[in-house]
Amino acid sequence: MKKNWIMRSAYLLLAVLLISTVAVSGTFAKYTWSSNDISDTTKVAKFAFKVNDSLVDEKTDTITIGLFDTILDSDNSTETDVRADMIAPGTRGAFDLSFQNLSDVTVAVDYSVDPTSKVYVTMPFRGNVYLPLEFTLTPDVDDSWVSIGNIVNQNGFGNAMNEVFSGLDKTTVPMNQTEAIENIVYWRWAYEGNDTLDTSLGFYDPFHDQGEIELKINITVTQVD
Amino acid sequence: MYNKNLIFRVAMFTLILVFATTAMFGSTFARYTWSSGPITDSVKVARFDFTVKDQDATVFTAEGSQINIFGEEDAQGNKLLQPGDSGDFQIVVVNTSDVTVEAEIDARMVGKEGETDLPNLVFNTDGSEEYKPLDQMLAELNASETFKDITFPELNGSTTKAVTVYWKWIPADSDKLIPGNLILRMEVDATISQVD
Repeated sequence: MKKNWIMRSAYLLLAVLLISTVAVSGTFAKYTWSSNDISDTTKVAKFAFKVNDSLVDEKTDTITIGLFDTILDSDNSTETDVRADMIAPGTRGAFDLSFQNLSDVTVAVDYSVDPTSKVYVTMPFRGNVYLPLEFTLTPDVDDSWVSIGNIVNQNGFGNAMNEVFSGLDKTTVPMNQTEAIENIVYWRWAYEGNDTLDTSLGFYDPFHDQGEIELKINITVTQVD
Repeated sequence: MYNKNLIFRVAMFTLILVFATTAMFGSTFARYTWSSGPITDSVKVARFDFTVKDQDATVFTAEGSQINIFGEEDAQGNKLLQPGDSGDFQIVVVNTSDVTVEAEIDARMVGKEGETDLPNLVFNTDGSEEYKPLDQMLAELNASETFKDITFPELNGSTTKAVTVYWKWIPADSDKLIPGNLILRMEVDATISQVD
């Protein structure tokens, strides 16, 4: 019992010694230095880009691109022989899919055709859908035009368009671009094609609108690890 | 004591596993990514719609139709011609398409039984006294601007172009070779094409 009392006194003395040493140690130190608040700041990398010159932010969930805004004659002159906003044999056009990465990160861009894209026509042709549009990224290369004509079903349309889009520049895009990457998708309806089917498509059907094409494109932008 | 240690070890191992997998797959949930909604646009195919008819509004059809070239029938239902007779008929093209069209006219005279000695009918499109053979009149008509560039009309409207074809039977010595019971048939074709 006495030993315990002695031990407790010893521990108490030791603790007081340690505390007082820390408290007064500065008094005996000649050289001394204390840092100020050591700090650093960092910014969260920006994620921002433009699609067709329109800035995209977190509030942007839809982008409008006039896929058929430009309708030209077969010789690339202004089309004056077809009513505005309609297509017919001998018309052609193009639309932009430009992309500019303004982010502080490298990104990857992917374009795809939505499988719900549709071709509507006045009548089926022996079970097939007929709308003889052709698309390409390189209009001067004759064999690069991909036809969506005589396709068997709606999936064929999406597949054909994705074949065209596979040629788009989908490589990783460096950060802080000062100039946009230009992608131009060209389309045409040959004037010298299948006159019989073209004419059948164009004939007025009082119960239906004429053929219509509805193209849906998805764009996905992802930060590269 | 053994059971408590085991439970504690399993719990710790699970916790480590959770930290590890979270680190491995963390990038899946922690990167910047953005997807557009479908960017949609649609366009319609232009309508190809027109009517070709004569002065009586009898429509030319693909199957053939009876238009009025030689005037009114007599009481017996015949249209009798003799040298010196003349007349006219119209070809009217009405464009109701969404595209500009042009028309080309072709015509021929045939004897119903294959006769080749036919009346000397001559034609023009200006109503003058200067008549021409059928082929020449057609060539000049098709080369003219008459049926070129029949523009697409205002929405729900129509653009009409017409020509009046004048004909005359010029008496000739060869008339005496024509069988008295000859049935002359004149066929007129119209081809409508979209203009590029």
